[in-house]
Amino acid sequence: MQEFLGVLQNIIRPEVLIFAALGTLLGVYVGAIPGLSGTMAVSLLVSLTYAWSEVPAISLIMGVFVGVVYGGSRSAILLNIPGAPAAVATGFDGYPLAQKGKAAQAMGLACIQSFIGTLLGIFALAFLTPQIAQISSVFRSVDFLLLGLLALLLVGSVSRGSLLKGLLGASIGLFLGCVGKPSQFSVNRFTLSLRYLDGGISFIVAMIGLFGAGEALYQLSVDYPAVKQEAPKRIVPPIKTILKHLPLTVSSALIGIFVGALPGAGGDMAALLGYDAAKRTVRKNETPFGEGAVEGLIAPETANNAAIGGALIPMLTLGIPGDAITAVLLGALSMHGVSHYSLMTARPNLFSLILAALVIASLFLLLFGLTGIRVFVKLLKIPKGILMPIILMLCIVGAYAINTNLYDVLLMVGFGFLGFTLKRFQYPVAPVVLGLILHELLESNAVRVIRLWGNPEMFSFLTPILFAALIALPIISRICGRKDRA
Amino acid sequence: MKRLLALLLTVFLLTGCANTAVNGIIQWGEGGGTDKLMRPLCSYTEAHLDGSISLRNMPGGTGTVATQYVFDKPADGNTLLLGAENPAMYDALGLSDLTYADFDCVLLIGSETVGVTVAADSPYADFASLIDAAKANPGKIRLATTAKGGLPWTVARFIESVTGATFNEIPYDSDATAANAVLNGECEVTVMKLQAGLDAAKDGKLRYLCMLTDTPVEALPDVMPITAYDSAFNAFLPWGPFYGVFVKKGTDPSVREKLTEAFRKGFEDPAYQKLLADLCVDPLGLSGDDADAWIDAWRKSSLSALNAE
Amino acid sequence: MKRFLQNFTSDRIFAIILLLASCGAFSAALLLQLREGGIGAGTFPLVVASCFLLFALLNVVFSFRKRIDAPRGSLSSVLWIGALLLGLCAGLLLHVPLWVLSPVFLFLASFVVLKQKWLPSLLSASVTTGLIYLIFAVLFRVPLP
Repeated sequence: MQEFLGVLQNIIRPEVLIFAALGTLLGVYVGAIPGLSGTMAVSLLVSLTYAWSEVPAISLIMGVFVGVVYGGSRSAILLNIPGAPAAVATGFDGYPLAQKGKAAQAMGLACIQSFIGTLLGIFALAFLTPQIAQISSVFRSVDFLLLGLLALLLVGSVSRGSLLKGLLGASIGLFLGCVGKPSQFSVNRFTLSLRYLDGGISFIVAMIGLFGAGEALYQLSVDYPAVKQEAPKRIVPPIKTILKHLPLTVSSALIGIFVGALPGAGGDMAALLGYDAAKRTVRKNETPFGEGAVEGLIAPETANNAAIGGALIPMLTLGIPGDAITAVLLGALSMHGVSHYSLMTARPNLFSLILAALVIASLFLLLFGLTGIRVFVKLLKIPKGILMPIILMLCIVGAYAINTNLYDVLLMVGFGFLGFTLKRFQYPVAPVVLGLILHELLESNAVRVIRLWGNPEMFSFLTPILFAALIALPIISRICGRKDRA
Repeated sequence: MKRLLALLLTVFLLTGCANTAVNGIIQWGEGGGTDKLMRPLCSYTEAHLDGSISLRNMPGGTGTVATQYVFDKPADGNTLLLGAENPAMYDALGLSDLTYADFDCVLLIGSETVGVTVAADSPYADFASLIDAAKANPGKIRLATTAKGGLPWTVARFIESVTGATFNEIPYDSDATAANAVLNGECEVTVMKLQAGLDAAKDGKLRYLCMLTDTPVEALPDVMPITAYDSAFNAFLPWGPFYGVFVKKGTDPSVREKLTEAFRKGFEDPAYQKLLADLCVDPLGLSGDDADAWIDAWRKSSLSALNAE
Repeated sequence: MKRFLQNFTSDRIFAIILLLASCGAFSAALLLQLREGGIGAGTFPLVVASCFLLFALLNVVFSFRKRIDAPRGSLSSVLWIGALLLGLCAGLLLHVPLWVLSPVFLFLASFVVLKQKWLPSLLSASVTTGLIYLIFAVLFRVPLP
């Protein structure tokens, strides 16, 4: 009860209101610009706020976090270019919806679902943190390995079209993830004697290149007639629609919260897992997945925003980040003297500040998310010949801004060419990114499992559950798939 | 059109007028031990420098990525290496050809105390029983480390050279994940900085079996110093992760002097000293030859442990 | 003979390129594993590279059974844009400032390669460059090249 009061007290503080709102606005718009990754935006803003005092800095950062996860979906829907790692799955059905002229409705739905997802995530953060933290800290290395393998199964889901090409893409991504110095050994792998590659291949640079530059180049090479966008009277989806899909919303949010709560897994994994779960469980969808299914938009958008609340749990309790954005946030909070260990007990005020900032951010998400949609849709009217070079330029600057390193730009361009070629020959691009994302999780835990082998403590009570899921899932989807065809 | 041009002109002028800053390259990631010391120091130091310090984290390769980067820049005092203790041992560990011998120390900030930790419910009541168990089961007791050259790895080498005990070393990605492995039982022991483990120790979640010092530590007076187990450990002490600000060797001495003066003033700020105390970092505040001598002595300790391996 | 060469449509060529890449990856990983030995730095890459090789091989086989037609559209403009991108990178590496490279790239891409009208091209070039500076140099204070 005291915490509740604390949160309320913080919500009405003008400082918190202003900065959380500002952060959300920045996040939504910067996240929506293709080529400028949400992670880049967060890290740039974080270094700016260092000199500020705690309250405005944390409020701003929370606002940006919330804004960016939704903002990234705008460019995913409009241009098939995710603006943040968490928006990777949004374009799967969001972009086809836009191609059918329903861009405005898609963005409106994404906004509402993001709002609901954020609130559910905040709820989990506020009331279930100790319990969830306990479960996630139980995870042993073998559990993470099994989780990584489960996530790899996702390849089937995201390889619309050819599974073989998807597996090929995933193995390319996994191999590229091996480049550089691994965290567990002191050998330089496959760096071709280039010092720049010592640090490995940055997954953000790869994402900007594959999804951003690659997509821009691809769009320039195809002659699709411009789609006339509908100008609906209302962008906000009717309550009926939201209620109809409520079970899906809740289940996607749960996935988001839980996946986000796992140390090492964040919004991107949550979105992909949520999309996959929806694909496996939703039966009576009007449109097939991958062609503009509403469910294919609802699931990832709810999951990735619910993962915000989820990801803050291990970050605040164990000091272990969930994804790229929470890694930056961890640093930011640390700079402001927030030690994860004693946050809940020694500094409850700070915890209620974070909660309050998140609540405000989600409210402003509705405001900023729903406004400007029509303007954004008008952007699609800009001829491709003007828009795509602009996007390419933004990708260049966005890649440079991450580390002010010119070689990142070169790498990004290389990935852009690769992405273009992959799309041209109908190879799915998402598995490559999936491989890059999963590489660290798989390799480091595999090494630990091998070293730990023979010790009963290496297993937790979750291990048999995960193992069973790993075996059962492909079998179940096979059976369900056969039922569909029957 | 005219308004557009005026706007563009203003933008270009604004950017042109941005003053040149000194670049501080932080060797480890945001929020890490190094970062937590360097950012406040730089903000206190900026006041005494004309211009600002533009900070950037460049983690990777146990700090070799950042070290190489600063070394590749000209020795003009515009690029600083804000590092931890790792570069002192790079050549010996085969991580890089560079070491701190290739840099001049602007300011040696301080060093940290570390200790051997186990979970609260661990069967090892004290350091002696841990070592006995390790000697009885060589290579079996699970020690959570953070890769070659990291803190637990180096201390494991010290322990091995004095006692002959060996462990099953399981590498984790960071101090936090290694600590978590001990807390949830996946590993049995690790080495943690006092700063990282103090809260958990006070809460009874984990226990320090010994500290790598020769006298008990103020914050945890009941924990025995490692020299009480075996005085041979004295050969390595004082030892602990340290932090410093460095420039490439060959930088103009006057430029270096100016930087040292500014950093010293920032260091001596009472607010910064309080931060150091809160983080359990023993302040050193050395520069020039004194700092070089300190680092050399530190390196000798670490090398002797390695060579005895 | 002609039929044989015709069979090498671009998607099959790409499949072969991927196969060659996988062979390179596999040999690099194998060398690394032999050098490091045991369960070390080379183990995981070797496992992954083997999968890469296997899938690439299967992919080449399948690509010769079924042909993927490239989508309708003009490839030449993309190739020119690609060349412009490389030129832009070269310019960045030669320390040509971004406020020169950006409008030049944008204008050349839109007006020359993609045959847009000159006024929108010029406008987009200057407005975009201005916005980039506004957002990055002023708002985020990132030093642009």
